[in-house]
Amino acid sequence: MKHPIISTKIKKWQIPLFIVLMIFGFVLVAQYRTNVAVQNNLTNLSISELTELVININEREAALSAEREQLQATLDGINEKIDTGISMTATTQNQLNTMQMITGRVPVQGPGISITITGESYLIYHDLITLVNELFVTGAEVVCINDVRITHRTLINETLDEFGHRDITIDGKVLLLPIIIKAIGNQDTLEKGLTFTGGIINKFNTIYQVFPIVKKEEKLSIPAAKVSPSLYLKSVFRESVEEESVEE
Amino acid sequence: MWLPVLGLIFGIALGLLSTVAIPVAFAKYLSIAVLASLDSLLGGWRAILEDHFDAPILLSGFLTNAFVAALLAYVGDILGLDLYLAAVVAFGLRIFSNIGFIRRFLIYRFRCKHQLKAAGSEKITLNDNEYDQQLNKEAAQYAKQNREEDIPTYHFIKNNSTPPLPADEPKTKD
Repeated sequence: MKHPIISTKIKKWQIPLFIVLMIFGFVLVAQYRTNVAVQNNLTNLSISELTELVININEREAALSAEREQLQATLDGINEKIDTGISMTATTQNQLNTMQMITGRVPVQGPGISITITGESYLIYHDLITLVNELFVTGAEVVCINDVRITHRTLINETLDEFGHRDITIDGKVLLLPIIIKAIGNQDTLEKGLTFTGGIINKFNTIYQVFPIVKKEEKLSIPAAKVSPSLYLKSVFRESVEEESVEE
Repeated sequence: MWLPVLGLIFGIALGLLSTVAIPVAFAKYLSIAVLASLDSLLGGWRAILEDHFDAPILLSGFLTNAFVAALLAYVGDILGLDLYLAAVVAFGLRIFSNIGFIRRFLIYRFRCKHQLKAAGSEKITLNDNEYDQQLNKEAAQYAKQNREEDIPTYHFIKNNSTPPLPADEPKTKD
């Protein structure tokens, strides 16, 4: 037995009509779109409409080019700022590097001289201080003694060992022989500054019977200093700037 | 009834979603084709109401009419004649004629059913197949004759026969 609802629902005309209506709907929409395209077509516009259109387009073009110029100016400004920022960063980085090299925070290398003191000698810590001072005076940029970097906080002193001998200490550590002093700077100036007649090497030779060997070196490597952090130091300049900004 | 409506919705959706662009030059021919299609559709609806619907005739008529109408418009363009006007007039007349038929048919059916209900014969179910077919025949006959001045009383209730149509009376137009 046929189901009454199904047998009455789909009739023989429904399928063809479905197809025909589908095609009709498609063609209808296509025609509508084509008609809209025809209406929007420039060839269908009158002279006054076309003139108005051209005027509108010209105005829009002018507005857009003005906006473009403005944006270009903004872009140029930003690029300039970026360049300034980059150069400022580079300068600051260079300064930082220099400061780090000067304060001994980074290892350094360069040409200079090495002074080697071997064997038993009557050298006392005062002589070493004088030698280091002499090196700095003659233009040494960085000095180290037995790979201990000399900074503004380096302490050169002496201590008595268990046998009553005087030992030179640097930052509390006993200096062992041979003593190798490295100094980076102009090789000729440094050498001349030490070895001229009546100079410090000459004094060592004649008075203390110490015979240091001074040698020019093309490439000296000096390690970084053990830097303890500054707990109480404050920049006066920065503080004053901060105070001014707070006052404002 | 839902299936053809679904077809129309489906076709419109297909048209909206597809990116097929018809050249602007063909716009006129396509509009004539749309008119022809509309005529075929209404003819199909009329045929359904008259109960002599034929699927091949509808489909072929739909396609052929659309194509020939477009062709006629094209030939008219070549010859410098506004031949598409002929198609517009012909299809326009037919469309209005068909719409008139469908309108009268539906009104007749509605009135008959209304009368039957008013007569108070609840015993006869309104969805009865035989009754529906009979009513359709009557409505088609009525609509064909363009008679609008009087609605025949429903004889089917009394003697189960079609109402006699007064053939001797002169036919009137809308």
